[in-house]
Amino acid sequence: MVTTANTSQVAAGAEGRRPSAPARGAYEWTLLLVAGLFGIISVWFVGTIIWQSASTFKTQGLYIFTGANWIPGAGTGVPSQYGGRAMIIGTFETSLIAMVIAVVIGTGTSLAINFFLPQKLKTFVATVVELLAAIPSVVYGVWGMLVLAPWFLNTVGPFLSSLPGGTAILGTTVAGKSLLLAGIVLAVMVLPTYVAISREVISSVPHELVEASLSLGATRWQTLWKTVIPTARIGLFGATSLALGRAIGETVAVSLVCGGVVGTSFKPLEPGVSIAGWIATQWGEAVGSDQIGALFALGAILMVVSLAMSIFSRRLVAKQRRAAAVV
Amino acid sequence: MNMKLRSTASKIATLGVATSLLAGAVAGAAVAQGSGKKGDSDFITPTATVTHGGSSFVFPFVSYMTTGDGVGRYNNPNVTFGTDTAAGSGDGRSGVNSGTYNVGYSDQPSNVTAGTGMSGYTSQAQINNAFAQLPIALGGGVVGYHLAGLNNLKLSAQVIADIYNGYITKWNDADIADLNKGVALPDKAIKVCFRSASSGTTFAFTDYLQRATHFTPAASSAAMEGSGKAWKATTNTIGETNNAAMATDLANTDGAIGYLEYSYVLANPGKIQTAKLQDANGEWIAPSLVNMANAATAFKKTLSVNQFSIVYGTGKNVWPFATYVWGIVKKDQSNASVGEATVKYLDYFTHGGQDQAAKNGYVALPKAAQDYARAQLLTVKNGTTVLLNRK
Repeated sequence: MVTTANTSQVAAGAEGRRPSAPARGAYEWTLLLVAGLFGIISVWFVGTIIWQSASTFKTQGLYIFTGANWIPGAGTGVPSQYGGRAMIIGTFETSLIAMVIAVVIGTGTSLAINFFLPQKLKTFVATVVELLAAIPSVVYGVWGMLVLAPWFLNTVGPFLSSLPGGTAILGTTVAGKSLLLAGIVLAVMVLPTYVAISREVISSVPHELVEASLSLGATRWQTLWKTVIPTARIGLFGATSLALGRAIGETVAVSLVCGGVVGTSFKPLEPGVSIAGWIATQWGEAVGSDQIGALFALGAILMVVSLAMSIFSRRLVAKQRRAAAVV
Repeated sequence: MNMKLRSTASKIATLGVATSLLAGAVAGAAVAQGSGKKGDSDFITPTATVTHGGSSFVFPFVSYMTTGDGVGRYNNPNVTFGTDTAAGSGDGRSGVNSGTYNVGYSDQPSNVTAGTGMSGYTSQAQINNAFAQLPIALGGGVVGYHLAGLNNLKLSAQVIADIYNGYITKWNDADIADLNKGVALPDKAIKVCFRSASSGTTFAFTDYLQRATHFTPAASSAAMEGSGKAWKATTNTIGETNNAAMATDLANTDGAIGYLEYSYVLANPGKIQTAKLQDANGEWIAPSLVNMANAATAFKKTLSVNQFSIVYGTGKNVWPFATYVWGIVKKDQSNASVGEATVKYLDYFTHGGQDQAAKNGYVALPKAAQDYARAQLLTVKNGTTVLLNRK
């Protein structure tokens, strides 16, 4: 949507600057047609989602955001209850876990690649990381389900629960599949994306700055922490929002490892659901009932959330750019 | 070398007639076995790709019949099959309705009153006009669990319902101990595995529990809630996407309980324990293909899209948790080649192919179900042309 608005603004701007433009040729018409087609598809797509979800927003009201139950009423005579709380919180929780892990490990990896690895190894590691980014998410999901879940069930889960306050805060694992596992699989999945971008960003930090900092007596650690990261922060933030975008809408990997329970406790070691994963697993039974509207409503919520985050991160990046320019 | 070759050549020349006869016999045998239709001329179809998918309950059987080179599989060189993702019965029904599948597999036929209607169809008559629905396989669900060394625990329908509704949370609960006198039950939490995505196995499971606990769904004090997605148990639960995921969890998770198609238990020997269930006479019986076959025999009504549930049938050794799996195809096939390949595949599946049922963990269809299936396939047409060349 944002892109459409930009495109039309650019088009309008171009028009404005060329009042006496010559008649349009076939080339321009083709471009306009393609751009227009994109506009129509976007409007059609967004319109369909809003149209399909309208009835659910009307019948469920706020319940779609805050409700704890997801009970289709079809065939039972009981009114349907479509509460999206578990999916919405699950989406945020898994994405948050993923981002914390990915940003910490990813930034460390990027710094290491740039400052500590010998040149030959640097290129090799960078290439491997970029190749990892191309692996389809279902592969990560299956790996999480068949390899990580049993390990979580037998080793990681019991260990975390045994820590002081572990059960109260983290909960107890049921079958390994959990919101935490989903977050970890997401983190592993978005790490290559994050590292690929943040490595570029960090390598573009001017060498003079680093050398100046070191020559003033700062330790390597102080230089990284006080000079490199602040200089690169805009780019790092961009990398984070890209990775978050991938995490928040991830479907297959999450639905395979999150545990599929519309829960109420949201403790990380317990199973949960995410919006995208829930839509993917429920639509088969939903077609032809009021549940399809409810799934579209969840889709609309996810769309709005992603859009809001996209706008927010653009604003923040723009703000930081201005601040950087002033300095 | 030359000598050898010459002598071989002369032998072939001498035995020319015999050799060609032998070769012919071998080729004939290969066709008979490979075609799966035992040399039937009906078997050959135009080149076509058949897309299919749905029920994970029947997936192992479908997979055997359409991929690989197992004996008796549907081995028509002209037909290519799409990938069956085993995404669940709901996916099978909606897939055939939307046209993404030529055949949808579902553990229940599309039936408006059962809550398995089709988008865009308001009455059963409309659905019956548009879709041919036929039983393609007969299988049994089992209640599986993971307690090493404690196979064949007795679990009544009421106890199972109580577990799924969160009233029984430990394996050494007094209600379970009452049914299993003398068995040392562990003091372990029960981990309740259910199916969170559209599932015909869940439908059959709740159907069994409701009938066996003499519960009517309309009653307000629900013994079972929802179609499996809203069990009352809230802690120690795990939602699974299909039978395979259920089997994986049961095989790995100590203290877990779940319900799944029998063949998935056979595929994980020793890793999943199965419960003895009570038949309608109150006798405890262990799951077996024989008991599951009895469920079809005990069904005295005429099988149809309106009467399809065979759970909790009366009789001795009648497995209470059995179900037919249905294939659903559009009656109006716009593409003659695909339509012909589809009905011939299903006709083979429901007849000759049933010889392969037992080795895949299913029960061969009884004659009445086979006849019903063929009658349904004969209603599938391209324009006015009936696509199945059989009577």
